Amino acid sequence: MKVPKFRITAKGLESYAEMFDVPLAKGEAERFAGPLSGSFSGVADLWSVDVTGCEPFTIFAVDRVGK
Amino acid sequence: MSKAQTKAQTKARTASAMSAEDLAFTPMAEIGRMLRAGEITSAGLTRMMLERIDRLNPQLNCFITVLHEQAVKQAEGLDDLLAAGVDLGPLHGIPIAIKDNLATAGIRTTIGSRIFADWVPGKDAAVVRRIKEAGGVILGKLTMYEFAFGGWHDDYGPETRNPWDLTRACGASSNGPSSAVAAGLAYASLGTDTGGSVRLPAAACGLVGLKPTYGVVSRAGLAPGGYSLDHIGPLARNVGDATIMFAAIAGPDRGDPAGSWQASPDYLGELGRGIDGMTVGVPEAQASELIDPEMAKACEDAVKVLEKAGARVKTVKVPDHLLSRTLMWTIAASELAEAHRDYLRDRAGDYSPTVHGLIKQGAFIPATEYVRAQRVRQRILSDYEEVMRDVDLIAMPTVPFAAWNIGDEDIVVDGKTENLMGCLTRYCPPFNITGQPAVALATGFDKAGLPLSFQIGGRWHEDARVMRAAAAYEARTDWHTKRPPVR
Repeated sequence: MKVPKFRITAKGLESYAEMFDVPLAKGEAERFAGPLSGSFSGVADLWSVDVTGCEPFTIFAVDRVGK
Repeated sequence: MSKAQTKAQTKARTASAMSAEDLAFTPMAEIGRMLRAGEITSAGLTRMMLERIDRLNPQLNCFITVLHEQAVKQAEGLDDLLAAGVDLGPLHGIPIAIKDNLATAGIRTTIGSRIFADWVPGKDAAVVRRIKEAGGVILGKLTMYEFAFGGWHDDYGPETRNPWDLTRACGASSNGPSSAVAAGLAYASLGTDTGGSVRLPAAACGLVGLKPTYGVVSRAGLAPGGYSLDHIGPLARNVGDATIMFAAIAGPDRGDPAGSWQASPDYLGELGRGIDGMTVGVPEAQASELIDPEMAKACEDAVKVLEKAGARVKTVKVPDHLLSRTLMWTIAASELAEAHRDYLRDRAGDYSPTVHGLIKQGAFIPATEYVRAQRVRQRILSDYEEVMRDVDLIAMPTVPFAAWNIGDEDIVVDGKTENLMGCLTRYCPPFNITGQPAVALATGFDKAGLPLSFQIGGRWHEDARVMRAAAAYEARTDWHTKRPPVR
């Protein structure tokens, strides 16, 4: 898988917040952009892990169905 | 004087010869013996602990709510039961306390927040119900980081102090549960662990902290920190006490949609079986390894103790710890942001700025990244499954450094400056990601007199084996008998 290049900017966060109805107070987009850039550099690395055969981890206890 | 009167007087003398301080630090098994022998009563014990709380809590700030009347009333009822020949088991009549994110019927449950400052649940969390059914006396509710996620809310006064050094923090996020037990203000407590929040405070305060296998302890009635990562577990001063608490709360419960339906084994009965012949895996150093040299040495020494107890030691290669840390953040922040959507909009000013920022950042994680994280989680789980085919247990540090100064945001470890919270969550998240059981244990003290710690992880549903190993370690060391200087 190709490792994505995330570009977290205050302007981008404002647009995302508007689109997905995330409340943002004045100055928060600027404040969050730095920490989120750091966090997302780690998230980008997740795309370099081989997940062949791995489905999303489930929190539903399937063995209990019908019991 | 009749024989019975002489016997009663002798018993009373035995109990009074023990100071309240000694009694507060006595292991539960001995307290149970004294209760059944009539040397003490649960009501008397509870009053003594409440007196200690009243005296020491102003220094420590580990209790949010103290249940003075209710606790004594509950204890008196338990004394009556015992007198009538009804024995609820090893927790009968023993005073404990509960982290404030576990619902308690009729008693406010703040989750360390302003948003839930006045919330009084109508129903007990499953674990609280089980503690009551097992005869545990609930002394009160304990402080915690707001929503168990990254920071303290100033509405609850100054951050909880570490009994080993009042200028130090006592871990995160189960601050109160660790401080209260270390100071002898409760015989044990219940904490919660999403990325290490039972084991990290246990480490900071020199305690035993167990994060059980995911699903073995019901999460019903727990305020979510991250649905798929949350665990509830005991903090105690020794392995026996931790196991008594664990045995009381473990087992199937319909209230937890992801709970296991496997019946509980005899956890207490397994404790003394030793670890002769077991294989302990020690992860090889990773490229990103960062640990204080004193902590590293203490962990190496702990492994030698396990070896002397009969275990074989083998170096193993486990997935990068930092990958688990990234997964923990991605998954917990996403799940928490979903749970807090309305509060983020309507009660933004009621969060502490730090926690508000952390939770809101979770709202910016796209679903594709969350799904990716859950798939990588499956990879990590498969890799650990492979490792656990070769070894019975894994021993590694709980935390890279001892208790930090309250208010610190960065920490210097082995000459390198790192963000404190990031560095703190280095060794615990792997077992939240995989759901394996892991127990933190004291393994000495640093030059400043602060506790050091290591953890033992095990296979899924082999919590009993993990506690057996912990008991074998404890039997050959005396760290668990040390008391902090707070008086």
